Amino acid sequence: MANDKIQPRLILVLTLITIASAIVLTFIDDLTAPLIAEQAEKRVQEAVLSVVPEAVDFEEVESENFELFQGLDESEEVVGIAVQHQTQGYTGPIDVMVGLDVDTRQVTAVEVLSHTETPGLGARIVEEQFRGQFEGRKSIEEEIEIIAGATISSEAVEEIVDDVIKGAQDFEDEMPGLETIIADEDDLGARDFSEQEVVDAEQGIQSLAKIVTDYSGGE
Amino acid sequence: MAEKNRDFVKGLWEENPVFVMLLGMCPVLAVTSTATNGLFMGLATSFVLFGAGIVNSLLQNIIPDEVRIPSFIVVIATFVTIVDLVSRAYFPGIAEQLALFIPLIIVNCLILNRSEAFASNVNVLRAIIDALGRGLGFTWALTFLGGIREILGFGTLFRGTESVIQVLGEWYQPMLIAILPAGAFITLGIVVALFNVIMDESFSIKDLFGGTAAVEKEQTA
Repeated sequence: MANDKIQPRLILVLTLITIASAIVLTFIDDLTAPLIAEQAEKRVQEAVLSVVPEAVDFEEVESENFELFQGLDESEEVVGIAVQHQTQGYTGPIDVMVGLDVDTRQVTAVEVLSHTETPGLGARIVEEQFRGQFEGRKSIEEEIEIIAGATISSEAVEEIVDDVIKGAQDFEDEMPGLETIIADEDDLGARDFSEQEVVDAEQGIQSLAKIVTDYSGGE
Repeated sequence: MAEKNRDFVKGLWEENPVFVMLLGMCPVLAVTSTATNGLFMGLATSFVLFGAGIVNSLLQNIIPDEVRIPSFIVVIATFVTIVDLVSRAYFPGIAEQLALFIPLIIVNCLILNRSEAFASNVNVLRAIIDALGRGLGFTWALTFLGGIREILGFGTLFRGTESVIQVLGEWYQPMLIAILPAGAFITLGIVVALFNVIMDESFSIKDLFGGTAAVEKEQTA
């Protein structure tokens, strides 16, 4: 440099350019911020209404571990629960909306909100053929048919659905409207056992019986 | 006038930012998995190129030499942020696809190259014409690459828009590698090689098969 002193002009010009930039961006942000918020809200809204088919409206519910929504019908009755939950996929987070039936706690539908999985492989988790497998389930003990070449992505979605199903027990505390319905059902003991559970229980009883006979026989 | 025409054509063809200058390779490789993504990325980059070209050309006598790079970058970043916000507000679908690559336009060396080497040394009109030429050159290159990869990888053109075209029929088994990162390198390599063949006037098809002619040429060189 010709002179070692920093010229004030350098500082002045750069500062002015930065200020001008900030002013322009403030205006643009003011214009676009409401639109961007609206887009995000619209996405969530569409997802909630699509996983809870009977709902015409919904409201968010405070929840500790999940983003929780209750779907409402015309008469403001709770007709379903939508839970937004995410986990790490193969290349980034996978954000999924899971719909649960209020009475049976069965999965009504699964919708992938956002993901960054590999196109053609992991990205196929958004396809109905894969998502549809979760419909009507109360557990994911029965095998899900995973997408060929995308084990990690498929299992990530499986994990989310599993978390949501397991977490469903807690929802009744967080959703006052739901409490009575589920409590009633518990009183009646109206829980359906899955085939696997029945088989497991029978096997358990048989092996117990065997131990008892073996033991007494040995004596 | 002739000079201005040249400014425009240079960016489109003989100094094409992608196929000849090999500038801005990051978006070229990353977002050309479909023609739609390539087109949108090209247009976004063109807008930034255009805006930054005008501003940096107008400010050429005001910005001191010592702080010109930071000044250019602030101007470029301003236009990129505008693109980012506007695309998220009006084109949420495609903005989500391109995600991080929109903010990364800031560091696309094509734009800094044009501001530093051209726009800040010429009048506004030439800067605008140059920006349009390079911008369109970048856009067609990205759309072209995206198109090839999309046809091979999905059998379609302009996926994700309403005017999606089914190029190859149901019988086509998509070639997955075309839309994966490796496909980007392979496609770009082949297209750049073809471009060099087309641009090289001394090249003739005979050289490929004749052998002797090519060897002689090499020896004389």
